[in-house]
Amino acid sequence: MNANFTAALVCDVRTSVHDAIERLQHARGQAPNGSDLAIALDAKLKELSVVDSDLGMIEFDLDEGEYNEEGEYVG
Amino acid sequence: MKTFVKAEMQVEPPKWGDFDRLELLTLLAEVGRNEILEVDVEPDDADAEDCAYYRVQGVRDSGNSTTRTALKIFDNPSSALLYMIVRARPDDILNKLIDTLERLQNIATTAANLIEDSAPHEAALFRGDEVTAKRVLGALKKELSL
Repeated sequence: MNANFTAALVCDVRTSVHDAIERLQHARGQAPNGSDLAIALDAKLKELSVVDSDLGMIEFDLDEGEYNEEGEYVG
Repeated sequence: MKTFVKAEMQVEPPKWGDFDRLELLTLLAEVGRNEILEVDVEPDDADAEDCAYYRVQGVRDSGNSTTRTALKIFDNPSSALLYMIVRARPDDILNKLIDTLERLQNIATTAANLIEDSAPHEAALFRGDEVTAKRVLGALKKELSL
């Protein structure tokens, strides 16, 4: 599995998470405030936000080049 | 392939100077580098009044490779931002994706069940997420021979 494919996969999964967040927010908007459903949906929204944040930590540098022992890009 | 996992953490200005090894190990573990056994922190010369650099070396317990990470701590009047770059192996990223997809699948299942009656159209979309996540999970696990 090459780097470009993995990067694309991360991007796809993140898009799916964003879509799911939007749908959950929509469903949450329809639920009466304070209801069990609203509370449950809020909890799921919070979980998805954590998932999204975790995925956001992944960055790809697909450029050719070298990094020194301090982890800095040296070209 | 150079793949990086980035972690950011907010720390209060008075604390960042006292950032200790345990906190760094915790942070490294949080981004999935729990095979890192030791972290040495050496403050470098700050090249700006509001910016201090820390060098961090992580030693992996498998093989002879040494993973080095760079930490930068940026200070501002209200908070400091700790920025860390960790070299990650492709398998680490795929494992993280598997974990994410499993969580997404579980959330989609629960969400679909919750709104089945009140919003059947959205519930059906979540069922679709569930199926997609399951399919991609199967392919990834096959790739990693899990």
